[in-house]
Amino acid sequence: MIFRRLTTGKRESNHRIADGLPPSHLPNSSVMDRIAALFRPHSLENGKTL
Amino acid sequence: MSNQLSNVAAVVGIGHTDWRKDYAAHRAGEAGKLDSIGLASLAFTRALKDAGISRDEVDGLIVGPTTPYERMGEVLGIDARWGGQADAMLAVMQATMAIHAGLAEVVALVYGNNQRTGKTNYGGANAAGGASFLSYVYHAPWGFTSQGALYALMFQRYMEETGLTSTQLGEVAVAQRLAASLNPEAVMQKRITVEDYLASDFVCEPLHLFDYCLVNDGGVALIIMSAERARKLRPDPVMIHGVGRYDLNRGATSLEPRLTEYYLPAQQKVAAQVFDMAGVGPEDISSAQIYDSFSCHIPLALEGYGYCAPGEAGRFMQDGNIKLGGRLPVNTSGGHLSESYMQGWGHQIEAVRQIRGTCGERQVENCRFVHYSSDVAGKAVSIIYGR
Repeated sequence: MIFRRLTTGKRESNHRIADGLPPSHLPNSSVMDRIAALFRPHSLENGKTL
Repeated sequence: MSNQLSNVAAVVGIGHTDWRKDYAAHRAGEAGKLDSIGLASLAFTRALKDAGISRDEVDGLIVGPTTPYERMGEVLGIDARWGGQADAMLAVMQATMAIHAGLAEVVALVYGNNQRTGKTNYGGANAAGGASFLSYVYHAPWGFTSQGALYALMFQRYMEETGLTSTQLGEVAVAQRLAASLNPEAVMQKRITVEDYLASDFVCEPLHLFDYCLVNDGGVALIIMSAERARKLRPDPVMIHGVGRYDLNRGATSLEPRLTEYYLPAQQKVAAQVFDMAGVGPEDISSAQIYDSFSCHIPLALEGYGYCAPGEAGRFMQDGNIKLGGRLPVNTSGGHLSESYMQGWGHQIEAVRQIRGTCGERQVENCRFVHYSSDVAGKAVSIIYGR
């Protein structure tokens, strides 16, 4: 079950938005997005331009 | 000068999130409902709808610097034939080059940033941007931890050398807020006067509060495709007539290009390339969209691209040339100062809207060519859009 959610994450939050649907759980329910946010490098998260 | 990239690609779709509504909600204490990926995804769906194509037709993907490329593609459901990560200006250039090279035919450019609700720091001990530009952090031990401080230092010298006054610099914030007041989607719409500007607090002298960009959440997306296909798709594709870039890297960490030349040599090199490629000159440009993390970008670009002589930007602005109805309306959406701080991405879609003629009360009459300019950290980039 966990593996399926990790590998698909379909129909949840950002996937739903990209499909033109309302988000399912706010602010963000996707396991992958939470993992991505945890490991996102500082430079990526903050952007680079000013 | 090569003109092989002129008129080979066109913008056929644009989209953005509801940043005015979101900003009001966040100011009222509401938590951000979408992260950067979600914001980019929402903008992408709107750009697809605007283009009138399906996501299956997209074969190229360029993702902004604030979201991871692979994850962004996964969420959007795009297996790209060609892809990459770039800031706004380079994203447009890269899409154009990829289409010209036959590496892709329909490229989606997506950007999302939850910088306000995500509490991104643009100053202080954890200021953003140092990984890309060391000049941003080298001077932190002396107190320079924000871009505002660096630009303030730069522009203080410029004002001393040229005689440009605070009143003249205030024309930027006033003109852009006037434009934003006519833009129903701008975050800041209340008009200000030069007197309001002068009475506002300094954040870092000589830059006042109104000289600084907003910090808000949002997303932007564009769909770019080959010019040939674009002409068949819709009657009003916005053509990319010219692109150019020149980087001042030598002496960058000592701030030399910034403090002694105001990036002028880079802009002049780019001007020669981009105007030649597009087959037009400054006199043919209907409106300029200029990267404005701080207002002082505008006078520097006006001089660098030949809209006025070096040292004459103060007078040029004071004479009303950059306002709506003036010779060269600048940042007609309100720009970073008043519409939305989308790190240059919002400027691209405003250029498209002006060329399409869909800007309502802030529409520039008979808008033929729009020039985009960015001079972040001495890396000058330009794009000329047109019909």
